[in-house]
Amino acid sequence: MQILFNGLIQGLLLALVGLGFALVYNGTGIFHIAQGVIYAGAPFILLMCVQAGVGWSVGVVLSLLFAVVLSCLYEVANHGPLQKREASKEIHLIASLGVYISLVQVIAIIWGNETRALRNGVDETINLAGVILTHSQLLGGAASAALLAAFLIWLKRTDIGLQFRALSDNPTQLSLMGYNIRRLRVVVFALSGLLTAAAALLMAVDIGFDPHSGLQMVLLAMVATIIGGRGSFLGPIVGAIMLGILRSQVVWYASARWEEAMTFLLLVMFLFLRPQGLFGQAGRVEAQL
Amino acid sequence: MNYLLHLLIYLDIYLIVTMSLNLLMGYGGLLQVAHAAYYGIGAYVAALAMLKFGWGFFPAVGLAVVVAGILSLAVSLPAWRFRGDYFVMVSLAVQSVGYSLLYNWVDLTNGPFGLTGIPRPSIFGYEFDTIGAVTLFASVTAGMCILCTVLLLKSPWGRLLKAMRDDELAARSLGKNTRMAKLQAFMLACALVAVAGSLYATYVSYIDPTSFTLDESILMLSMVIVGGTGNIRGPLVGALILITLPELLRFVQIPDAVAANVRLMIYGLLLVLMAHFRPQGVSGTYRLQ
Amino acid sequence: MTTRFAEEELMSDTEKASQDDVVLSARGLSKAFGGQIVLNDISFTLKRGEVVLLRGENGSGKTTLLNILTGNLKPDAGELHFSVNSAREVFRWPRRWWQNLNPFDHFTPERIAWEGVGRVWQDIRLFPTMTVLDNVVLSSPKQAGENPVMALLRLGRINKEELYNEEKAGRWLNSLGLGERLHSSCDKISLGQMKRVAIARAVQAGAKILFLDEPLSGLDGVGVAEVMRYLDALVRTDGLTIVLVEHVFNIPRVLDLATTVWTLADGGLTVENTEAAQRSPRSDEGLRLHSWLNEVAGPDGKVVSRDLRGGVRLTTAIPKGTEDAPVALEVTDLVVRRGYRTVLDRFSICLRKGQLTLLESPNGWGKSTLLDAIAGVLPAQSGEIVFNGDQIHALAANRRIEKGMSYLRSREAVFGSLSIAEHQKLSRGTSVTFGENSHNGHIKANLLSGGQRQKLLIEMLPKAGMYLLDEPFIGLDSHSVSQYAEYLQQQIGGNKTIFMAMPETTNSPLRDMGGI
Repeated sequence: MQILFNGLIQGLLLALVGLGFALVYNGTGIFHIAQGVIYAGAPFILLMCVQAGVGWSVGVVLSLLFAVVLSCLYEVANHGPLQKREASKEIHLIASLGVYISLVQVIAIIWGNETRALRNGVDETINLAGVILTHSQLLGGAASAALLAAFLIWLKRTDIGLQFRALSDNPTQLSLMGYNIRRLRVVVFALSGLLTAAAALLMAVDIGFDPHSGLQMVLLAMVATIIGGRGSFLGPIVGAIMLGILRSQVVWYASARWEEAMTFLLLVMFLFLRPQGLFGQAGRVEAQL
Repeated sequence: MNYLLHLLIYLDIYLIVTMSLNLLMGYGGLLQVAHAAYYGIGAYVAALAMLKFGWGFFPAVGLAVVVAGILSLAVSLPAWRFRGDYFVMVSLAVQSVGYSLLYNWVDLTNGPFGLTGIPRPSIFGYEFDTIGAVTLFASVTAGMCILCTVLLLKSPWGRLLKAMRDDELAARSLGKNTRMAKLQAFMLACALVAVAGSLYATYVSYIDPTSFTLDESILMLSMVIVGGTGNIRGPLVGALILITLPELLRFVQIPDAVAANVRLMIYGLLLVLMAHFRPQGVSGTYRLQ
Repeated sequence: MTTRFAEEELMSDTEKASQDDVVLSARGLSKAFGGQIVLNDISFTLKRGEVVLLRGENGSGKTTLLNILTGNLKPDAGELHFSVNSAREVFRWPRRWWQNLNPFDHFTPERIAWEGVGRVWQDIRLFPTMTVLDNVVLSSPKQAGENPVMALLRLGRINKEELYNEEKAGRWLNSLGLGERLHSSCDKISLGQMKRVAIARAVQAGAKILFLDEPLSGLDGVGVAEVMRYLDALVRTDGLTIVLVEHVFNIPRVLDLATTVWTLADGGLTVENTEAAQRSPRSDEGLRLHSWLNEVAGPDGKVVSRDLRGGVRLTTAIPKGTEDAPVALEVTDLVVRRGYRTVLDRFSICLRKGQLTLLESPNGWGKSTLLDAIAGVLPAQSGEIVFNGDQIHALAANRRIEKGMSYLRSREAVFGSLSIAEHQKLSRGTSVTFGENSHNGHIKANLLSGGQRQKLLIEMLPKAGMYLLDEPFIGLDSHSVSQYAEYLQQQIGGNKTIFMAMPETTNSPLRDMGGI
């Protein structure tokens, strides 16, 4: 039971990151590896604010702002110009990879390569019907669940949510109906950054953080998106939760060493047996003849 | 002088790496991120053969080549079915699982503690133990590998690869067995990089899993992209840039603590610049458009 | 005793002769895509030396059948018997369960190529990074050098083989008049030459049955003559069997060569010889379209036709008073490339307000590409587009829409995962209403039929000063067609501009090129 809850909370936090990845992937088809920079960088901004004595709330706001601004820059300076030139997905991937590599190093140069912590001392715990959770875990689980629910409602009910879904479905047609695709794409990136930073902060409070954990997270987000289904928004969320639960089971029953291997084996299984994922649409698979 | 020879050895090793990766990327048109895993497999198999079985260098390399060749099926079989995004994901999975195996199969690989005391190469009892001798040995090995690759690329098989890269369906309609060609390309590329790994193992005499991570794969990828793909010169340029860049940095007196970070940062920046302005790399002919 | 034996032998010889004539036969081929039956129980027998013209409307399944016969697609049911070489190969579907366990797929393009089937693609697909010569040399079958081990170890033998293949390919290309172009890259030769290289390539690979997908599209009279002459020679001298897929069937040169005509309609195949096919009633769609244009121009207006190279016909309905109307759209020297291919090469057109212009072109000419480029969906490499006096070729699509143009695409234009109601919410003001879709608000668009989707698209089209329409009537029932045609007429009356693109109909300009 304990394991289940641990996994669930991990899964919820991962779902935020997964959604961030899926937003960009669905809306633009880009493998947003540079999302890892947001994930890695946000906690450092918060740390910097706390150390400067500015306070936690301001720090959180500044971190989220950092995430949104950087994400907008991604589209405006990196992917937008490439899109105009009709660059292939591989080029976008390489550009994203390059951004990830260079910016992560910048973070490492400024703050060093070691793991840091946002919290000093031991966290307090609560006992919920036999399951022991730390305050950070509780915060993480509740906040992410709230954010996820809010997002899903926003997607289904609002006008911009509808435009997002249309963008993921047929961007050319949306453009032909008079909508500004470039602006929408920036919003997509911004929202992705927001969700990713939120997840990063929540996780940083719980465990530590370092400049290099971003890539790992993005990979997990990618697995969650594929398992959940490309083109879907609910899918990556479900996929991430599933992944979180499975991973903690593996850690408990086998050992932490096989977590990664299991994750990727699961990915390969899905690719072979159900390439459209749990909620994705069949027939849009890039399989060969 | 010794230092220059040391650089030359590394150049030889990386030349083999870039030539082999160019085979996949510039001629096969596939984005491979699992190359470091095969590099590692080559290094470990050769090292283990020399340490545990007491084999000489050439039989050890032979074994490494065979093992890497067989394990190349892990990426080449999925390449039949997947292209583009999906293939990158499978490649990531293989890298992750490969690293996991190296790290966790402690009985065989000694896990995180690595293997020490790997002997220098010896042929018929003559041991290449001075740095000059090793340099000579490495250069000859690299030369042979390059010669083989060049011969292959200029042969009808190389032409078949080019056709496959340009338009696989058209090639198949002409009766070309592109699946076999892919299998062969992967087998050769993985075998070659295994040779590079064996050279590395025998030179540094201590290997551990941290040299064979995803980051290393990405570095290899960057080398090839920056240098250029699709011809013979590009990989040479790529390897050269990789070797000389740290030296340039030293010249500019960047402190050692951040040197590694700065080097990677420059790499990331180069990747982004290449993606935007020169997708064919510094000296390549094939644009990853 | 001996006589009887001889008799039996004789009989089996004749039997064998008639059997030998058949190179490919199909029985009961069926294929459906997502519930829609495209091919329904198709059977035929193809004999050596036949020249078949495969015709059918867009969407009739020509491409599907072609893909199946060349190993690119598996049918849902049926049998294929290949007997080009003396050995006979049979493929049956559905496969037995134990056959499906075999991961090494049996029915692949390369396997079928080994059966003697060759394919020439509509967009040619020569390998762009290789020279003309290499394209053909590459196709040589059974190259030992294609095995990497051999390539490394048997250099001498491989080199000899290469020289032999190069010489053979060189001779082929010389006979096609391409002797000087052997070492040029493929973009330096004319379209007609490219098509012939593609044919040579397939033949070099050992094709005995050649499937050509709209080989004459984009060719002028000279190009058509060259290609047909080449095919003729291949049939007479080398005993090839040819299946030509063509959208238009009344090109004299083709009919001269063709021995049989296959017509695909409603999932079924009709086989007849050429005389019978010529007597079949022609589709009068083209005639109806042109008489409608006369209506649009009105009693006092005129209808003017102009033929462009590549088999394109532009017909403009000019109502009275619009002869000197201000120019709505002016396209100058537009060049559009898709990958390595130049689709539009310095295309120019001028549209005036209040006029309707119809563009009829063969498949593959690039009508959708042209409309895509005007609307901003595709970037143009060079050239100018001026809309109502503004230079728009640097603007994004949505900006052009804001400036007052509307574009109805012919494919992939709905949001499959969104419901009808959501489509309506997204569209900023509808122009036409067909009424049908208002009841089914919650249905997702990808579940709609083709006709319903088309109606939805038309309804969602923003009101504009200029309409770009790509095959607007596709899938519509006749009542909706008249409804929409009437609406368009009203728009012309309201001084709007319409540019409509349609696939070539029987009123093809090529029809008039008799005696080539």
